[in-house]
Parts: sequence; structure tokens; C-alpha cells
Amino acid sequence: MSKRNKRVGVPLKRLLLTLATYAELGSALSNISKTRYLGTSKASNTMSILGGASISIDGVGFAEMPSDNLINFKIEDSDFDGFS
Amino acid sequence: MIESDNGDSNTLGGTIAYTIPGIQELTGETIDHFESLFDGDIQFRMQVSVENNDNGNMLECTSSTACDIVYRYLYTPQLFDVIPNHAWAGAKVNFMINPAASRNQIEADDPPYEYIKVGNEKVDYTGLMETTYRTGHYRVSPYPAYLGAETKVSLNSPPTIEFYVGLTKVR
Repeated sequence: MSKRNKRVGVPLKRLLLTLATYAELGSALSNISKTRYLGTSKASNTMSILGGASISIDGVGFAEMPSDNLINFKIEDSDFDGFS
Repeated sequence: MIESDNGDSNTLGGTIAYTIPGIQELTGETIDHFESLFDGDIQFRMQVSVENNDNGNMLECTSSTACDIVYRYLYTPQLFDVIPNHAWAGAKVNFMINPAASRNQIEADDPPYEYIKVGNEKVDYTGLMETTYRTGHYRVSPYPAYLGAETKVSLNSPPTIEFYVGLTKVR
């Protein structure tokens, strides 16, 4: 196969956002309704492979405003799987 | 998570913000490495999961696309040249950029890109192009701008350019 036309699809990783909420806020969590570019209404999640895009994840509701350090982000399964 | 993500998050309104890392951070391989392997499209897929740390429950995705993020080479803007390539603070320059498919992601009323930063300052295109300025898909086109009045650069200091889809590859 010519490398020019080869498409590469890699099921890569899971971005795990851990919401370290207080117990009393836990029941207020709902779901993820949309992932989109920050500040836009366009729910298109295709981006530059260099990253850097600001993504807004909607639908994660809290009963009250938690402090900033209650949301932790980490990349899970950090081993690169190789090409499929 | 970076500092601005905290400011951009509105947890009361049901929104959290996150700046997505690039494949170099995720895989340990540079973009040049992938380009050397493949001339065509390069795609990666990432699944976003949100876990309530109190009870370990995962938040439900309301649709299959709500929690997917796709990295695509065809959506990666590329900077080919800066004309003139020797400039000084306040000078007008043309950034020669192929926006690739990123143009599809720009809202009608939004500027053509998020920002171009040279040295320590963002450039200013006031009076040089309209906010609605758009260029052709997959075509290298000029994006004129003035460098900042206080811009300090050293030799070979490439600009940082961010479109809505993310960072621009500097060729």
C-alpha cells in the first residue's frame, strides 16, 4: 500500500477527569452532554494533532461551586499502543 | 489542567474546561516522527471519561460523540513562512499559513484564529484584515499583522499560533 494514502486510526487513550467532589455534591452530578471548543456552540471535536485546543465539557452540574482544586485531570493508560 | 482552565470552568453552570495535550505528550513521539511515517491523514481518538471520585461512578455520555475527541492531521494548521523573516517590534509581517480543515470549525462571527504570539507578545491585525477574514482550505495564504510594540525576540524564535482546533505546526 502506498504510504501516501494510508490512513492511520489509533484507539489511543482515555482522558480521565476525576471530580473529587464532596459527598454532598455527588448526587448533583449528571452526565456529559457535549464536548466542544470553548466558547463556541459547535460540537465538533476534531482538532490539531499538536493539541492546545481548549475544550468545554458540558453537562457536569454541581449543586454549588466547588473550589478549583476539586477537579483533577489525568491521562489514563499512557502507554502508546502502536498502530492498528 | 492549566491555570486558565480553572478560570474558564463554570462548574455551577455545568461546564468544565480542559486544554487538550498534543500527541507528543501523549505518545512521546514527535510530529516529525509521524510525518516521516505517513504522508496521508493521521488520526488519533481519545475518550473523555468523568468519574465521581466519591463513589467511583462514571458519568454517562448522552451520545457516542459527546465524549470523543479526534486528533487529525488534516485539521492541523501549518505555518510555512513569515515575510519578512527579519522583523522588529511593531513591524508589519505576513504569516503564511495553511489553515487546513480548521476553517470549518470557525464560527461565522469569530476571528480567523485564536492568537499569534511572537516572543512575549500577541500580534495585532487591526486595520489589516477584517474579523471575518477567511482563506481557502488547504491553501497557504497571508495573515497580516503588526508585531507588538514591546516584542522581544531572539534569533530563530518561532511564533506560537493557535486556531480553534489547536496549535499550528511550524514548518
